Amino acid sequence: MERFFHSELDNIRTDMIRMGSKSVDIVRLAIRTLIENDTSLVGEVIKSDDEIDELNKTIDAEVVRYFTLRAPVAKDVRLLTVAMKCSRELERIADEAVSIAKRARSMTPGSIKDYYNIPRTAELALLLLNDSLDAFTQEDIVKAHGIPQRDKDIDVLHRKTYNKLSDFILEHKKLSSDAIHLMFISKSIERVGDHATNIAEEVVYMLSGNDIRHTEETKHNH
Amino acid sequence: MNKMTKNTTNGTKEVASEKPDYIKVDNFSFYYGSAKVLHSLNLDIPYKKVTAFIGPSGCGKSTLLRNLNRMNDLVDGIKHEGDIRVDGESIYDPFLEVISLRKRIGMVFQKSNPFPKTIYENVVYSLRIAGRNSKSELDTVVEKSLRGAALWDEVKDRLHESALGMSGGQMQRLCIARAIANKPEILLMDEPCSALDPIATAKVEELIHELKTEFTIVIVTHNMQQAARVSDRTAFFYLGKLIEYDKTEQLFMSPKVKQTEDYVSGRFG
Repeated sequence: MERFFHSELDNIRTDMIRMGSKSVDIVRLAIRTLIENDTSLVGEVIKSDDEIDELNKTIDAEVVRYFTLRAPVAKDVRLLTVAMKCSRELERIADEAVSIAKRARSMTPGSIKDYYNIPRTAELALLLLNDSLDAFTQEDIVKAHGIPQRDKDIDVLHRKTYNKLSDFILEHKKLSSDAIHLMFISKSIERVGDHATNIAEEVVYMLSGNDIRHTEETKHNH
Repeated sequence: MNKMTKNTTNGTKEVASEKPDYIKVDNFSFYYGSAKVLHSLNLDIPYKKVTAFIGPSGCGKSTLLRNLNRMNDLVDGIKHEGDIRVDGESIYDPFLEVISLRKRIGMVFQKSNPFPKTIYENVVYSLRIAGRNSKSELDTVVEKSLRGAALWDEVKDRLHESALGMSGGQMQRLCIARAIANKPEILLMDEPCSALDPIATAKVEELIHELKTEFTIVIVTHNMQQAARVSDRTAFFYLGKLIEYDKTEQLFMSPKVKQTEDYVSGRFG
């Protein structure tokens, strides 16, 4: 039997999907700031971060309200806790995007020609984020289970970039400031992958009730 | 109709009542003999909203509810001070006929009390008393009231069977149908789900949610989750005093008074 307040769960789900879509967009925008050296996008990134922050607060308020007034149980409880936790992950992804965009703006244009694995890492992180959000939207537990393993590739690429940039700094001391910015950018992208993985783990819990965090399946994470 | 909307704490929009003080309880005190059971109560009950009265047994919530249509007049030795006004008119106006007041304010009780008659006759009982016997009119009222009480589909093929053969949940909804057949403005509900199973309770709660588009509803309930689910406003009473009255969301999420907080979070006593 559908109750009159069950539509409020749909609203929370819709807000989550909207927030997820905005999070993908903001990361893409931040990466463009770096790759296309288009600092005019920074303002857009910051504006989008503000919108994502608001959605985070809205989802939190909706969840708290539902818990207080509707006495949810079973899968409804799992959806609500997962929505609250995932919206926090998405909010952090947006913060990483802001950090990427601002660091890109701080760099001297053209100072470092080679971004090493950063474009590829970003591509994989965005794909991972997209897929974890799809797993949430489509309630696809198989897709969600596959994500922690894929995060490993991102971690490996980030470590390679980090090592190469360390070598670069030793050889080009005058450009060390920009190289350090790139190191942080690479780290931010790697963190996007971690947050996407956290979302996938929450989706598994939402769909099955199984908590796969910090297990053999996922402990390589972070 | 100029309905104003305003933001609630969670950003959703609530339609403001056209008449926020449709029922006005004004410095109202009530006595059974020498015992003062309600103490100078003041609260405004909004039009076409659901207002819940909660509180431990003996707090006065049912007493206040039964004063809204002067049901307590039937008790010996009662006395009141202050006033209760419905849409600006005092229910204690000496020129007011109590029967007409009770037509405007329907009531549903804790225990369903269908008459030992057919389903059809239960619904039209008050119309027949008023001398309205036109078959077409009664048929229309029966269908409309049973549909309004979300019961039509379940009983349309057995309208002329005894109401006593219905399930508990159906009987309670029949009592709601009987109460709304008279087109009251206000529905008072005194623990309407306390004798029902969870599914029948859910159906009555759904019904309450739908009925508020037409009626102003005041419900007394011991079930705090029910108050939280169905009401727009909640009043918490203790020892005959109104401790806190606010939007339901506010009262359950961030009550201002510690006693309320203790009661709604189960730490009372």
